[in-house]
Amino acid sequence: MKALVIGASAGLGRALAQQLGASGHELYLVASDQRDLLPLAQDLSLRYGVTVHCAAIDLADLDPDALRHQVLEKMPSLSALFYVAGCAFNQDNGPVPAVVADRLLKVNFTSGARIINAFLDHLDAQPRGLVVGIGAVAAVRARGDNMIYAAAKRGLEFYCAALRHRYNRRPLTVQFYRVGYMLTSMLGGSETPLPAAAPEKIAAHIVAHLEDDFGMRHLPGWWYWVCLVLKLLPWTIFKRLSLEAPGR
Amino acid sequence: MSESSRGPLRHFTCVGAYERCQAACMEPDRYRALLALPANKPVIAMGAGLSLAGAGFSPDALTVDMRHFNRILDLDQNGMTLHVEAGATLASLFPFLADRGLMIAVQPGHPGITIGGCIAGNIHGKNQYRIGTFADLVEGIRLFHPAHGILDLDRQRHADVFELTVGGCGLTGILLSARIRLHPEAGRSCLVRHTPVAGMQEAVQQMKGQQQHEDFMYSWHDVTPFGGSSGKGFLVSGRFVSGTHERNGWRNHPPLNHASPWPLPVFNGLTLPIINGIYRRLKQGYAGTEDLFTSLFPFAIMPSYFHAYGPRGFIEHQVLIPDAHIIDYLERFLALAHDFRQSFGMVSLKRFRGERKLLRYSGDGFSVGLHLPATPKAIRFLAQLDEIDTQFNGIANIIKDSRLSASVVAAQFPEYVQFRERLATFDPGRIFTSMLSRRLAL
Ligand SMILES: Cc1cc2nc3c(=O)[nH]c(=O)nc-3n(C[C@H](O)[C@H](O)[C@H](O)COP(=O)(O)OP(=O)(O)OC[C@H]3O[C@@H](n4cnc5c(N)ncnc54)[C@H](O)[C@@H]3O)c2cc1C
Ligand SMILES: NC(=O)c1ccc[n+]([C@@H]2O[C@H](COP(=O)([O-])OP(=O)(O)OC[C@H]3O[C@@H](n4cnc5c(N)ncnc54)[C@H](OP(=O)(O)O)[C@@H]3O)[C@@H](O)[C@H]2O)c1
Repeated sequence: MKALVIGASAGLGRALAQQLGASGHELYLVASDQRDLLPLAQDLSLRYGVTVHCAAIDLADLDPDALRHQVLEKMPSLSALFYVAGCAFNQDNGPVPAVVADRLLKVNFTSGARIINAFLDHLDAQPRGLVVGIGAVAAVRARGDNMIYAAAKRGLEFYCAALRHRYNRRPLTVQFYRVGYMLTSMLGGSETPLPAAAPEKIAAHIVAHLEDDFGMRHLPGWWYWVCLVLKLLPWTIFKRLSLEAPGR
Repeated sequence: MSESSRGPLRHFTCVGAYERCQAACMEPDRYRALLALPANKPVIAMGAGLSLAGAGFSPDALTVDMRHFNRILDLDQNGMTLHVEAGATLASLFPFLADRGLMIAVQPGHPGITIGGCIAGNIHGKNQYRIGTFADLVEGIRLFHPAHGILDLDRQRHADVFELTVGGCGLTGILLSARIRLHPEAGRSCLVRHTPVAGMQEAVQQMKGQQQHEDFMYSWHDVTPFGGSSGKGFLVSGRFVSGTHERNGWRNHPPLNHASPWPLPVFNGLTLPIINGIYRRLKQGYAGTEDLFTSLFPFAIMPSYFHAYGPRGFIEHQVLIPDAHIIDYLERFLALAHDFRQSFGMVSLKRFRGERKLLRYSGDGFSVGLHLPATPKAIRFLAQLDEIDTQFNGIANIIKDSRLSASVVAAQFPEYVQFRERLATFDPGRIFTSMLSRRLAL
């Protein structure tokens, strides 16, 4: 497999890049800072003998066609795209400055949709194309916290579900993961009401199920039940739920 | 930046638990975050946190946990050098190097220790007589100091800062990466032999005669009433041999969760003599082939050793005594231990060869290492031992002993003042600070 990982410099994206590299897959890594990407690319190619390319791109200022050109030039037979990037800000619980709203929407949704869109015809033409989107349990039911973040994640989730429907008779597989709390810098060391998972564990699950056609999954799996309860809670109870807990 | 915005508070405990505190901590995973550290706030880097003193934390300083900066940047197989980020652990590098027939020849006693910790502590392995200490393997360092930016240091460029940084306990800045000289892989298994000795002085004589021929050598002694007046024990010698590589240990060794001791001190004045006696009888005379992991890291495979001292913890004391004085020194040490009826969890000797410099634990002589339950009696014992160490021209290992005082270190290290002055010249604001640096007035 030849994989493009967007948001590969830290957290889950870095863990995924490491595990895909360890499995021998050629990689193209994208994040915003070359200082983080280059060492990772060097490490993976030295440890696992795989070819690793990387590019520093700000997803809030994206030219998807340029990215497509850049990636396919280096990796003409790209077969998998992982959109892992995300960003969240504590102030996302009321009105936020326009630039913040813009960044939240772009990084968590529109840049994802635009990148996937730019590679769709190419991935569809592969014998076993794969698109993996990473969302968040925060998007399961709207709360007055992480509002734009959750809305954007819901957008990405919806788009991936639509893709799965569109391509269900084609060899292209579309997977989407609703991820719960992870011990990454996005959480910033905050206390969480439910346990946070190591990104390496989440990545290991994703890498072990690259062949599966399941649509959407919760990771870790027990979040399915939490999300179900959250969805079914009557509004009179739901509206009283604490707004303090981080809701990534 | 308010305290809370500098990162959440974390409880820090040195191995042995004698120095501990709560401090702000950040765990950067991007260069952007690391290089944005302000130039006017106290800070200190932390590797794996496996020091036996409070070297990587202080109540007033922000601890920067370097665990994410652990990538291999380059391997020059012909030049036999590895360029690696400072947060990489020895365990993560060993299998990678072994697959290429290479190794880092100086391995301290735990595989979780990081390259940054090895450099800042100028650590030693079990073969410093032949290979030297970690300082001898460091070819270059990339250091970050908020006031100076990123500096590339080696024995030519910024040689002065390079010298201060190696064995400098993280006080010159944050090590980003280092170029390490490699050795050909010595073997994948180890022929280990435990030769009984009647006492510590005999161990010294035997080491003098045999050290040249062994890949590693140290001794273990039973300094309790059961061990006789001179500390019966055995010499542990090892020779690397070919064999199959056991990888499991490197990947899955149990973490040393030293912050969670057992609720009661199972190792205490009553039990230690019995445990020492049983251990000596079980282990002396042993000979066998061990995988490299087991022979290099005897403590890593039994983390409960550290928990058994209970909540009060233990103190490690290590002193390097010149060859010329070691026999007389041991006599005084044994007499003091006898007078105090002092119990030890471990007493060990290692032979050293090298140059004394700044505050590094290096030089010619024999290193005497002790583990003692951290009781008030042990503290009094060690205070007297400090005086004897100083009389015999010994130097203590500052990164291992969590109760050493500034006056003792100043008396033992001729370059103590020079270290402080050179550090202050490089960093007049002295923002890198730890419990250790405060205790030693550095
Ligand atoms: C079971 C066990 C066995 C041991 N055996 C030996 C042995 O055989 N020989 C020996 O010499 N020592 C030994 N040690 C001690 C240990 O090697 C040293 O204390 C070492 O410095 C710990 O490294 P660390 O990665 O845990 O760093 P930490 O304990 O986190 O930090 C140690 C020092 O290094 C500095 N530091 C760490 N990373 C950086 C960085 N990136 N930039 C700047 N400064 C940094 C810290 O500021 C601190 O001053 C042993 C310790 C244990 C627990
Ligand atoms: N952590 C959690 O608790 C949690 C919970 C639920 C869902 N999630 C989701 O899981 C995914 C991974 O999260 P994580 O915790 O691993 O996050 P992370 O550690 O913050 O990493 C995010 C990645 O996205 C990249 N990225 C962010 N903004 C970018 C931009 N403008 N341009 C380019 N790259 C950018 C980052 O690169 P840079 O280094 O360039 O910033 C980084 O590689 C995200 O989609 C997140 O929303 C996380």
